[in-house]
Amino acid sequence: MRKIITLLILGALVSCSDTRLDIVDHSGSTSFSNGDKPNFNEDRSAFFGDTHVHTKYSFDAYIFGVTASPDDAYRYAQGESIKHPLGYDMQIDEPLDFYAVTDHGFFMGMLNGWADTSTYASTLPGAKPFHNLNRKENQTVESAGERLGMFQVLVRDTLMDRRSWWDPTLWKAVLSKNLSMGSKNFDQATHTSAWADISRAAEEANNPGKFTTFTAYEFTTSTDVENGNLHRNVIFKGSQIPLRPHSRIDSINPEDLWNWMDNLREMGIDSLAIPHNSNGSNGQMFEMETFEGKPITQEYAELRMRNEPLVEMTQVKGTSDTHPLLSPNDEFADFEIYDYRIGSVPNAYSYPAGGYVREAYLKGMLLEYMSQGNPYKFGLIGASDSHTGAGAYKEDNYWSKIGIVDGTPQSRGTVPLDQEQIDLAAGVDNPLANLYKDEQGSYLETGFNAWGASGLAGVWAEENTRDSLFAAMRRKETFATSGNRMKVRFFGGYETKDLDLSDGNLIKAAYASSTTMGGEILADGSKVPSFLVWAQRDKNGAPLQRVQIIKGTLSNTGGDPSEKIYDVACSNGDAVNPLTNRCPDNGARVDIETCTFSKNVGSAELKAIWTDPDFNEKNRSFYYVRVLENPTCRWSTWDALRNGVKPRKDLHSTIQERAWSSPIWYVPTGSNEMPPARSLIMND
Amino acid sequence: MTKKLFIFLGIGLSIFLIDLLLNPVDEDKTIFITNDEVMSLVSAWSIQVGRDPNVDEIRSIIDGLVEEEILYREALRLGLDNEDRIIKRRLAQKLTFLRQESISNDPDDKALAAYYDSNVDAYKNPERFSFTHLYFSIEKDALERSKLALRKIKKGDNYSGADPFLLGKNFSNRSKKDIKKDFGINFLKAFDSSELNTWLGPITSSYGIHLVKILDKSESYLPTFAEIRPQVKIDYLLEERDSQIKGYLEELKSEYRVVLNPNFK
Repeated sequence: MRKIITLLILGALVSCSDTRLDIVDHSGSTSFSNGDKPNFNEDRSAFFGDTHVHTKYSFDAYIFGVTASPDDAYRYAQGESIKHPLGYDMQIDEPLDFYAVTDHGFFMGMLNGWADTSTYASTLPGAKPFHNLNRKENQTVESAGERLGMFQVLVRDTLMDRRSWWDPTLWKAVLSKNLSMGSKNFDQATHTSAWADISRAAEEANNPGKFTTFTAYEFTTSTDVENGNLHRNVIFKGSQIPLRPHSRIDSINPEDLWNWMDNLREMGIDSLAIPHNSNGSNGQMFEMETFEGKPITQEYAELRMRNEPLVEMTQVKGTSDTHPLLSPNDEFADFEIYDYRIGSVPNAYSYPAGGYVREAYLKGMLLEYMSQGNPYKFGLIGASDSHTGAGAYKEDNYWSKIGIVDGTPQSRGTVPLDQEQIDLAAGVDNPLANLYKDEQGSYLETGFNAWGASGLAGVWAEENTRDSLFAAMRRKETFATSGNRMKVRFFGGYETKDLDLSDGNLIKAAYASSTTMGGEILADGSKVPSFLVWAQRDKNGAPLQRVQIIKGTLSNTGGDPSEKIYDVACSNGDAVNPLTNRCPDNGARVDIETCTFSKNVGSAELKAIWTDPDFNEKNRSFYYVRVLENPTCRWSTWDALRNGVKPRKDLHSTIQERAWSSPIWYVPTGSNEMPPARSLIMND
Repeated sequence: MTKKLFIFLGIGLSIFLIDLLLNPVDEDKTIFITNDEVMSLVSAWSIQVGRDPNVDEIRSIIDGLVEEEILYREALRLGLDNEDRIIKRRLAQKLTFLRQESISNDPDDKALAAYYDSNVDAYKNPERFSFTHLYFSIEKDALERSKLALRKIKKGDNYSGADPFLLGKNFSNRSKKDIKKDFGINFLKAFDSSELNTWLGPITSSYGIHLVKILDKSESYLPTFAEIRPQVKIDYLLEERDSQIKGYLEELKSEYRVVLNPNFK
């Protein structure tokens, strides 16, 4: 017996290499383009896509009834209809250009294994409650309560049910740095074959020039005590990927993720990570110190920016541009705000400061001023985070995101429950089954009604291929939308003011003379930069209302962090009021009884060349564009309208869809030679 | 008495001999280990650890191999493999992999050409247009300006009053699907005409009014087999892999009789 144990431990030692650094090449199955030339546009085209979609391989999606595979997800993105777990069809209005399935890295594929009673994984301890969970007759709204309960039990107890110390697999787990294997409920083969299947599906659907996919996953980490959301998606550039993803079980510290990505990059495997739901991070996504509470250093800033050039600032679970409490002078700030910590039950408040990108840009400049580097010089994209394989981007074509528990208007709390449902809810011991009452009846108060039909990633790239899109994401030539497809160009520089808005080759000229979104303008004496903004409406959406430039600035003494919003182009040729920096009301209205909106008000496109009237060449600044559509009905209003009830009064009934460009930064000269503020204080 | 004892022993001896004859020492307790087996384990070890094993480590690798083999044989002897779903599934998987691998990775041209012939629709390239357009922003009397422009152009005059368009002026090699994506479905009307180098319009899109001139059109065409052989090969192999298993199973199924419990509900 002792011999066997020795042997097993030896066996463990034998296989102690780090499997996160073993590389698998999936490129064999890529489909070739059939000699049909892709469009190459040296002035770059806008491609729309979603870099954040879950399928059945995510533990939570599976619990919520999702059976859509990565193949289904890629079919959906190209325009085919696929089934919602509740049986209805989900179909996109217009196909997307690119798509990435991002299942949760930790316990990826394990739930499918537990549920399938013919597998070894289903014999693992803790698997029993999940046996045949998603059989046909259990795909009902009535199963929602049970599913929510399972989710919590799973997250709280099952996932980290550690093996005993004498179990050789535990030692193997420790020695091979694969801590997931240390859980009694985990099976390595089930896990890695799910990951391989995700990559196979991506390779098969990738069609250079026409439709691009990326092998990707979500690194689902959070802060230890307060459960602040620190999730990010890891997108691999090519067909070579690691044998298994680095997950939160390997480490909850994002720096370890970046170091792993650095290691892979040295081996020729490029990837980037995109944080999301900073709004639910309890202020911990963008802090003034590291995860471990140490001061941010130049090295940290470089490590972070090398691996995280972009942030997903809008998605179903809220938009992270800014919070009304952080931007009290921004009358458009109250947009799809979801200020709860992600996954908390009951919903726990998420502290706003440190959770929104506008404030993060200011913090980054302050850190840079203090010679600590700028870890928050990121570009912007949007994505859906749908868990059904199918992103719901439109207010009038919305099924929320996680499957059975939010797949009907009643479960989303936009239509009152009938008596049977009220009785059912009363029997569910879960804070999510609490009710909200108004004169129309009782609604489920799940928090799902604060979610939004958002968002999409816009990428300016030469062609629709992995290399071209990935390069654009690296250089931050990207924009985010709240789910619609408006396009926005943004250029800046000292010669930008000389561009001619009526020049047929305006874009070519702008690329030649100016820097574009994601770039920076370096100080040049006392020269004043100008900016070119050009936005075009979504051809299937509402007309544009206005285009704004949002500026944040820090004085040359590192003080007075402030933001200011300038309207730069108004619809219908109206002029901006120079005192308020605002456009006049264009009079566009929505009839919330029918959801029709004013059709003849608003613009198809808006463009302007703008010079900052408050420019000071000594101050660090950032500038980004916000494009606003005329108001339209919010999805919750559509839900009510289609079910013959009035929209709830405590929810926004209309919405102004919008797009945000990545910023352009202005960097004063000599800034890095300034003495760091810290050492000044210490010398005093 | 002695005689009885001898008869008894005789019977015993013959039973033993018969048993020996019928069941020759099949419980061979010898474990042969080939060089190849050891070497493959050693090289796996080296790849994982990053150096070659020393003598002790090789010994423990062999020990591991031996003990695994012993446990395996004992388990077989006890019939532990019977009715084990995991083992069943693994064996079934192995067989399907074997069948999949039995497909040649280098199918001959004849098979590929036949596959291409029966799937021509999937290989057809759409018609593509190269065109230029004049754009008139909807807010600035678009219709009047566009009509004026069209008149001027048709007379042979130059016209320079159009507005710049965010996506540019000239477009090359766009399929109808691409055009619809950039301009909307209404804009496609212009491309029903096959007139080249003629200004068409006015055509309305969500952005305003356009005049369109198609500069070049490449007809929808079917690339020859030789042009797209690599893609045909991949598609062929993917399909072959699936049909191989299906065909193999169908073949075997005909040899089996399946009996279901008639009382099964």
